[in-house]
Amino acid sequence: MRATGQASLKTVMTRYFSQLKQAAESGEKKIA
Amino acid sequence: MFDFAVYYPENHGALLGAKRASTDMIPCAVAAGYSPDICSYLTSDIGAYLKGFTPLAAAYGFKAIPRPDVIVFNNNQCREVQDWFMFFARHWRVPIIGVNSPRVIGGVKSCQIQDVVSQLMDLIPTLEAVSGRKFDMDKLKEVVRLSKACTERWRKTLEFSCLSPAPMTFFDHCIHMGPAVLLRGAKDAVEYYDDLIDALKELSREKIAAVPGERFRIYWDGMPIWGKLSKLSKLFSEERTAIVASTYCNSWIFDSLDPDNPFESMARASLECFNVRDETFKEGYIRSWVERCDVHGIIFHDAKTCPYNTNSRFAMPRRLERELGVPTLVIHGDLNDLRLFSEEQTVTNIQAFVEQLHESRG
Repeated sequence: MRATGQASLKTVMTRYFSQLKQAAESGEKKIA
Repeated sequence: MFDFAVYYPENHGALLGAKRASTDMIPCAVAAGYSPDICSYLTSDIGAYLKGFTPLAAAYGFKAIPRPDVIVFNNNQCREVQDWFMFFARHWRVPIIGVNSPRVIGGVKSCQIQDVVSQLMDLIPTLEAVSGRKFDMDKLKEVVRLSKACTERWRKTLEFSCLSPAPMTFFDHCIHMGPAVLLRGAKDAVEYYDDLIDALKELSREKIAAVPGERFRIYWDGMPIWGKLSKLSKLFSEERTAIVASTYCNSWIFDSLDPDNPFESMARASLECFNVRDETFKEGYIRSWVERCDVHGIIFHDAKTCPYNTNSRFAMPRRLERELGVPTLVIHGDLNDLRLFSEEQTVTNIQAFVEQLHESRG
């Protein structure tokens, strides 16, 4: 289970940080 | 709300600690005039910025930490975040707004709720001006609904460790809390914990233990020692001792959130936070988790640079020992600054504590 959980956590965190990076680089979204 | 992408410096501070990079970063902040005795998240994070380092570069390809358009704080969990964030507000010349929380609260009073509600509402004009979007009550209700759904699932996740054997420990909680911290209010977090709870149900049904052969169960009060999570996890596992609950990971449970009453419930949730409560409340809170999780001993982490998350300095361990008949251990260290942590001494103290549990329980 722990391996499955970690894989899923990695997916969720990667999505969050990718969106944040996109916002920072593109200026499309404001950042708080 | 207002369609901001949200970045959390506290998370960045924890990442620096977990990567064991803090010790190299803190001196840069100290050289800039920040005391080595203040929050080591703060000194790690400011030091990393001054040094041009971020773990987000290697992990996610960031060139640097994001430059915000507005900085928002709530100092309920830590009074020093305001001073921390002021560094970036001055540096980037961006507006900083926030909530200054009442502290040392026993029972939450209506005047305190009104105070925080007013402060929350005062944030709106600046957020509207920076975002170019009008405040939308329906959107806020939806975010609070998702935050509530997240926090309910996070509570449920943590409560699985009240079962014996515990399917997860504090060290797992410190990792799996990520979505509750960074994505509360987003669907991703709710879906993540739904999956995790399904997996925990299966583990519990099959009685699969996070610590095989679990003998003892511990409550952890205070901050994690981020750079030593793996080391301590292995140590407790070798001692067949599970840390089943913690003040720190519980701090992302916000029972009072109510989408039908968003401002008042957010204020109440903020004021019910463990860190702003008085010692009588804190003792009752720890007692309730010790009893609920069938805990055999309590470890207090006295984090040198984090007085707001350290509860051992005013004799609470002694009082709880007397009241609950449960042994306590105070270990000295820090959340990030590993120069303040003696591994050898801590390992010896933990091993002796487990031996004490063994003897006291026959």
